[in-house]
Amino acid sequence: MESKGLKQHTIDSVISSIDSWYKKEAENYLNKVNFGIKNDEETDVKKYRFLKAFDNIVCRDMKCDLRVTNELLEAVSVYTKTSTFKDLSIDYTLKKKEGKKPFNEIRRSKSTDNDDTPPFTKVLIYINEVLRYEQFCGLDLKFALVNSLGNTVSSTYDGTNIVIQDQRVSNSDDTYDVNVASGVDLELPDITISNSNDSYSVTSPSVKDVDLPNITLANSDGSLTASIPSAQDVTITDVTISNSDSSYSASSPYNPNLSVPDITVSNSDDSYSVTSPSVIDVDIPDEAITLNSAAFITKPSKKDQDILLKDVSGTTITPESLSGNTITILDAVVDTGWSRPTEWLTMPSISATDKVLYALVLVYENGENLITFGADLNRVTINWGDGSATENTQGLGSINTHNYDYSAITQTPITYEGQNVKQCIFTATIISSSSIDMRFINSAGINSSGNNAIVDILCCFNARSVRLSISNQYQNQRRMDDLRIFKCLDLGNDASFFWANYSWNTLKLEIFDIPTNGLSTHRANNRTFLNTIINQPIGDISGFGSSFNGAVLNGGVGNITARGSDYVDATLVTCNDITVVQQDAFTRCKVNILGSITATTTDFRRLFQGCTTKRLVFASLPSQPTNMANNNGCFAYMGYLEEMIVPGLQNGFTIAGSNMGATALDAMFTSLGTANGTQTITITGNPGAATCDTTIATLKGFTIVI
Amino acid sequence: MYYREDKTEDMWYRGNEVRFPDGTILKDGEPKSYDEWYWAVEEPLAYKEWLLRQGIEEIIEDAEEEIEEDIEKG
Repeated sequence: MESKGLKQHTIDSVISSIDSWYKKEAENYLNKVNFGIKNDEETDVKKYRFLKAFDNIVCRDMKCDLRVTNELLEAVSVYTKTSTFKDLSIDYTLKKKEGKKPFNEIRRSKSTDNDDTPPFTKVLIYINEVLRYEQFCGLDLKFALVNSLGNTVSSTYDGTNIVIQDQRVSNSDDTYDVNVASGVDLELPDITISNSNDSYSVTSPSVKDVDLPNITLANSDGSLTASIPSAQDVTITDVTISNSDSSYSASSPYNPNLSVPDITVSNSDDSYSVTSPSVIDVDIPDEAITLNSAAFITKPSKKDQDILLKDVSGTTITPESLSGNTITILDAVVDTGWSRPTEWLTMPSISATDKVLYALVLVYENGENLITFGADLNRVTINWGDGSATENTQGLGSINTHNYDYSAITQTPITYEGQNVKQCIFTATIISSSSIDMRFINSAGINSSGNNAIVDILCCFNARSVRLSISNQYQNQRRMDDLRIFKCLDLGNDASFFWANYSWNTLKLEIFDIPTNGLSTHRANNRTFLNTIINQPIGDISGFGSSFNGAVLNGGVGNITARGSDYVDATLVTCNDITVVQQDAFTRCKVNILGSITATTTDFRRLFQGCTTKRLVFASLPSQPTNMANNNGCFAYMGYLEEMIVPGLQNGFTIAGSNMGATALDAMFTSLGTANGTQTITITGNPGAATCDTTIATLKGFTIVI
Repeated sequence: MYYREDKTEDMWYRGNEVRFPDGTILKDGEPKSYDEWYWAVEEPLAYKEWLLRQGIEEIIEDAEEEIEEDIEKG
């Protein structure tokens, strides 16, 4: 390698240089130097002088940058037994091969030669061209290559330079590991400090301490914040969950998915109880209030509700008592515009254990006043009430008759419907424990002028089985048209008390006062109450077949058990639940059915045809009733019908002309079963016919006529 | 008006629009007929006769029923 400012010498150039120097310094000696001759020792030139000269040439003039050839070295070695040359690169291998000492083991030491030893000459030692040291030749000079701490530094010698081994620079885990040439500045690369998702990242000089900024721990609304040193484990305080009044409070380790227990919403007796997720608003379903089992109102739960109790005229009724779920009011007094004439005789007192019938008989001044009364033989004693002798009944075949004598009755007459009448109290007292049929017959109580005699009946048949007929059982007989009051404290034990066909029909009863279970447990017979008017509530009612045809029960009824034709043309006003046992039960019946209907009959002939009810909600009915289409249909002509539910019905029908909206029709379609073959439902004329969803029914196989 | 007579049930059906389970719709005379239904501007004679017969039969049925009940219940 040629250093800057130096020249590469050759043998010739060395020789030339030596020659030039010797010409000037030792001209005479040089003439005998021949590097190509090995026996230089024969020359008279002193070895040390030559070497000195050579040394000077090489080390000073040539700046020790001579690259010595083998030939030169060979020559030098001859003359340098005790001398060394500075900075001469040498092929060590070559030297060793030739049995020479490696150059680097050549030491310059103080000569031990005799006095012939040439005088010491200084060796100037340059390091990186800077004179660092002077040493006499012939003295070994040992340098140690150390660092500032005095540690030996590894190095190599490349023939020209002492090459200090690169220094290794690394971090503790050797993830950074580089070799750096000695003497060269190493600028460590910056380090990057970042968090796991690089949302925080800063560059910092290496080795320099880095203060990580604090992190802020906060909740979502900033109501809770904490500044925490970075890279430090943080223990989050348990969270406490509580409700507003601290009646519920629970601590739990923080968990982003913390579950709050469900809450139970219930009423005081747990009849309503639902489990609901906490915090979520809970809609409590509306509550229904029924009145005597009939639907009354549906209202928001937990909302105070004042219920008004009024009579039909709108007058507020003050209850006699409020207890539990019962509102007790005075006995109903329906203002029919009628009151018992004050001039009528007061009826006898009667007790609940009596077995007796009292009848107020009007004896007309004009006409025949014949009363005919029959009962089983000797089971009843009759007192006609006009002072005549009492008598026992003769049996239904013989009949007791009595013709009142108006003139014989000592009494101030009264005027009744424009005629003078006197009054008698007829008494029939049961004197037997046997069952008894008793009947006013043969136009009983109707005189020959067509006047009615009996206007008020009061009776009690405690612990006796009695059947009572107040007129003949034949259809076209005259009735007690003027009977206004029938009051019975105890109907006795016979379930057929209201005996028999037609025998209680066409009455106009202003007061019909019987036990509350009277007409449900003491059934009537065929057309028994035909066209009879009763202006009082009569509770639950059970017919025996056509029992109430044309009857007008203005006080309404409770639950109904209906047999065939029971309520044809009847006016019931309202009723609650209905059990239908036979067909034709409510044909043309004027009633609004507040409750539900259970149909046990499969014969639906004219069942509700022409009925005025707004609701026809079946709780159950046969899926395939018969005779539904007879006489134009079992639900035909129901012009007031607004709601109809027929669960599982598979037969068609018509409700043409009814008053059902689309929603009601959809609900009705939804309640249907699957059509039994070809089945047709006619909804023509209903308000919702055009807009209802007929596919609900057609998908079940029904054909819909709109 | 569309008419259909169900001779098995002795019943007539009628209406201006009929919707069937198979999706067919008869409306205002289009189509004229489908599945025993047919369009007629005036009431078919057979329908009128059936109406008359219904009224008479109902009266007869009521009378018969009344007689039966009277016999049954004494």
